[in-house]
Amino acid sequence: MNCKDFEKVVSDLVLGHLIMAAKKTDALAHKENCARCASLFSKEKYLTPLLQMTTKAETTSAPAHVKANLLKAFAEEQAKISRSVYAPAKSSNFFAWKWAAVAAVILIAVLSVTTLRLFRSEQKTEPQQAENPNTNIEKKNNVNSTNENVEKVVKQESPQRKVEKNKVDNIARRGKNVNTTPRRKSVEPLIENANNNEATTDFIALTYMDEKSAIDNGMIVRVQVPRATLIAMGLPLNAAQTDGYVKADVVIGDDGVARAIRLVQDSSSTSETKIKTN
Amino acid sequence: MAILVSELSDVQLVRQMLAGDADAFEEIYDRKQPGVYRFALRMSGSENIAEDVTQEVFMALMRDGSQYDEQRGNLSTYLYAIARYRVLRFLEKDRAFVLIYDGHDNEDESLVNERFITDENLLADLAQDQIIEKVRQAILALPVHYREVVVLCNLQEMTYEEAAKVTGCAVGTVRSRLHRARSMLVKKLRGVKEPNEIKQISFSTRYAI
Repeated sequence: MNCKDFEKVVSDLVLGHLIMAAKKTDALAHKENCARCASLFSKEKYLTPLLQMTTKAETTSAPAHVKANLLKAFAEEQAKISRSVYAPAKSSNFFAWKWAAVAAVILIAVLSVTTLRLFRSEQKTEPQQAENPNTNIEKKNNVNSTNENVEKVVKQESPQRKVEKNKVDNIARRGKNVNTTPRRKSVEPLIENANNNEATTDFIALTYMDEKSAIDNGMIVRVQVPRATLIAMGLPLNAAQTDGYVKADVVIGDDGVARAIRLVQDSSSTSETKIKTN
Repeated sequence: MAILVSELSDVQLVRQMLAGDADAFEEIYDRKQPGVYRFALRMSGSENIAEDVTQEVFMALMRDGSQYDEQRGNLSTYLYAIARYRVLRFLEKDRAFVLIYDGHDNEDESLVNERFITDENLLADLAQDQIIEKVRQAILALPVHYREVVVLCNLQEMTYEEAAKVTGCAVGTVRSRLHRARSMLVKKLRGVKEPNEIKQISFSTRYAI
């Protein structure tokens, strides 16, 4: 054994660590023959008890509050972990709700579009239905108090019909003033129907109707009235022509009493009825 | 029959702790805390740093305990390695406290911090606790890489293999560093009487009176 090898084992030798017996014998023999290694061994032997004494003397440990802090932190950490374990379930619920909401919005949008398209197509088909009287014409007799044979045309209500109805209501509320004032006598510009085949005047309240009897519900009936009758009622028709029939829409209340009338002029007809506009 | 946590091995305790068992964590702390605290104290010489390091080591175990691999070493080695890293960080922050190793492994003994070197003429009649304090100071005066092997191998009574795992060095490096560190310590503590000498002094003093 040389000095370098001795240096490697001197600590083990002093500390009493397990080394091979042959190695220990060689080291001790080398120490006897080498003054430097003998000095090194004595230094180590001097130091070792000091270090051992220091080791034994130190029984210090961390203060109690360190342990308390750590246990508290451990409890908090576990609570955090348990929350984070629960969190995915929460978030999955959240996403489920989110997707459900998105699906609901899409469904509502689709329904809205579909309804709008149906409504528009209904608007387009209504004038065509009006042209085909076989589908919704209902004939009734003895509607008018004058017991004239009239042809009643009941039309389904449409937005345009509602507008007309409101106008009738307005006229009905105005009562007799319609006929007494020149302004009321004047017929508003002709209203072009949806099918462009006929023009109508505004509704004219019938003279026997007072303001209280303004109707909320009723129906409009297409009739053909003798021209003479209308002239007798004071409607603004050409008095020179007393024969023939004039198409008219009559508003009939729920009680069966006619409330208002408007004249209808078939633009395609050759035997036109002249309607006074003034 | 329920098994007491005190009967469980370190590895079993770590598993239980990771499963959320506070008792297992407490048992690990009770077992390992003194060594970790003393290691930090001996390395830093500061109780405050030792406290902080101890707390940080067990916080790290609590949070990253799953990283502990029993195949790579025992729990103490794992904890000491964390403690060593933390202590070195503290020492780097607090350079005024002790000198930091400058990276030269073949450092001359004359470069050792002289702040803590004892006056050999004044130590003849030191009592045991004074000697211990002198030894502590001498250890603290060592460069960090020497200090840690002395603390681990001589004060914490680790094997070279364990110390090598803690420091991340080869066993041979630990051995050579320890040899050099002990030589430096002998030089520093020259004049400090051996424990048997102290006994003889106190014995003779008692009878002289």
